[in-house]
Amino acid sequence: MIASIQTKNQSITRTLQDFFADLLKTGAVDAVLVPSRISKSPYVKPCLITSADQMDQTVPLGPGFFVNAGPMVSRLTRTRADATIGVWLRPCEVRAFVELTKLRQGGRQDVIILSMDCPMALSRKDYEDWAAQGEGGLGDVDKWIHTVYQKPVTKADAWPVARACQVCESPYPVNADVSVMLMGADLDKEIPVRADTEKGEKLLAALDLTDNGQEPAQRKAMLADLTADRTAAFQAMDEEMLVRTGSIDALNRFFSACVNCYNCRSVCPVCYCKECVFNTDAVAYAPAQYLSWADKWGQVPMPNDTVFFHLTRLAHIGCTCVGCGQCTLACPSQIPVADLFISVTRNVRKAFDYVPGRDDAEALPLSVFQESEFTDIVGMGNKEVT
Amino acid sequence: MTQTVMEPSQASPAKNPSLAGDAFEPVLIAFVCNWCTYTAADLAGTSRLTYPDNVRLVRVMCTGMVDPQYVIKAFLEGADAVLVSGCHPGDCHYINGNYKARRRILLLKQILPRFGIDAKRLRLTWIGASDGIEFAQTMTRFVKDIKEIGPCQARLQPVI
Ligand code: SF4
Ligand code: SF4
Ligand code: SF4
Ligand code: FES
Repeated sequence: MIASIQTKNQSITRTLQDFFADLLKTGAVDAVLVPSRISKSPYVKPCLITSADQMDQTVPLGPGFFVNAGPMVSRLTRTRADATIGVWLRPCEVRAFVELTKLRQGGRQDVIILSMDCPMALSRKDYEDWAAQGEGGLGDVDKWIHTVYQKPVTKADAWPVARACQVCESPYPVNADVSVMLMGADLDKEIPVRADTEKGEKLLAALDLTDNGQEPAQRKAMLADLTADRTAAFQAMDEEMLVRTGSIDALNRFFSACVNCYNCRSVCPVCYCKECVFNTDAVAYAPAQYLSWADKWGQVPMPNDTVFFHLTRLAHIGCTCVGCGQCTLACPSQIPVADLFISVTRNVRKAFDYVPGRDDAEALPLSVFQESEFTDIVGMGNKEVT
Repeated sequence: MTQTVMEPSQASPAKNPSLAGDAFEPVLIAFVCNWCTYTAADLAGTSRLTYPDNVRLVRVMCTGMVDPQYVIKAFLEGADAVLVSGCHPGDCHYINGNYKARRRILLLKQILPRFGIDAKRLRLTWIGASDGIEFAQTMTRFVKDIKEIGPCQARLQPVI
């Protein structure tokens, strides 16, 4: 069913805040997870809200994206919650959560996933500049929303979205229970909302919404344009990355400012290990080992294992990077980590015909095997799969 | 391996005799399964079959325990090539370790070439316990191939 939610006070933000409040008031859910401002600062974080009168600081659609909520939903569903939680997620957050459920880090039983045509995100610097304008210090959220959904933002716009969003392959909901179809909608009038699963149907019914809406006429065409634009941007980025990291020397340079802080790992929603090997004794070398490296080359940078860390991470999330760009946002050295990870992984996963987040039933490529497959990579003179 | 002190920019086969032209002696790391390829290597030895001494064998209990990290670290420490070799399909002592290894090698063959490490430098083979001759031939062939490709970049300069 597709329902239409009437826009209130010409504000999409306000309309969605009321929508979430209604979800709580009607008892359709016991809690909602929505990005909200922290102490009225410009920074937003996913907040678990149980009180309908706590909505005024929420920012359901804005260009601030500093935590991928996928792992937060995983925390909320690691064991049964004995409650129903409505989670409002960007498409790449849904993808991350889907990947985590495949690792049995969370499950869908207690959550209802609401997702949307994505409002995209700004880089940290641009976000701070954007947020500084407008009353209340949070930019003009509704203006942002109108720009994004009437004419999807491109690199050339005044506020170019983060690189990850410029190359995002699906900035629209996949695998959600409820999809909010903002692209091309007449947002001064209404927000079309579609139930994609039985759970979604029940949720909309609980709000007394009826099947009176329709997908915005232009939406499919706009999303197709957007996807084409993003695909071209990805190809350009991929080529750039091949040049910037195509050799060991280039890779050294690319990561030369890396201080091994592992922030990129901490914020990555699909970096799944309970304990990362780079926090273990496996990489706590004896002093003599460092001296022997130094002897070999005349010097050894400390900390070392920088490229080792990044290549290991690439091996671990080679099929599951959801392209959210959080690693770049979190890097104190302003290394475009996501550009590299998105480029590499989107090529890697092709070998396994895998797309993260596409399908709950699709097994993680490295968790399964077949007896008769990939036989052409075995042997000495085999055809190369480069 | 010659322990030459050099700046990355100065690194060149010409300055390091073990890396230059005909004299290039590649370093190959071979992760071999205890139950088959390692036994084959042993058999090759007791049968006095010769193969190049460029190969450093690392005995593992199963190819299924070769973490992609081992392969990555081997390359970053200067290996010119890495071989993972285990039991034929159906013969793995842990039932399916070799099938898992095959997917991991496929994964690495997608990642490493992006950074200039030729996919030909990473090989996966099945060599059974009684295949001493095949083991010696495989090693000879691999060393020959790598001599043709030349030294790996990470051998010529340090990786941060
Ligand atoms: S990466 Fe895609 S889904 Fe994620 S915030 Fe950017 S546009 Fe949205
Ligand atoms: S590697 Fe970066 S872009 Fe990919 S999922 Fe992790 S944080 Fe997001
Ligand atoms: S966040 Fe940046 S500096 Fe920190 S480990 Fe990652 S790439 Fe290196
Ligand atoms: S026991 Fe030999 S490959 Fe598994």
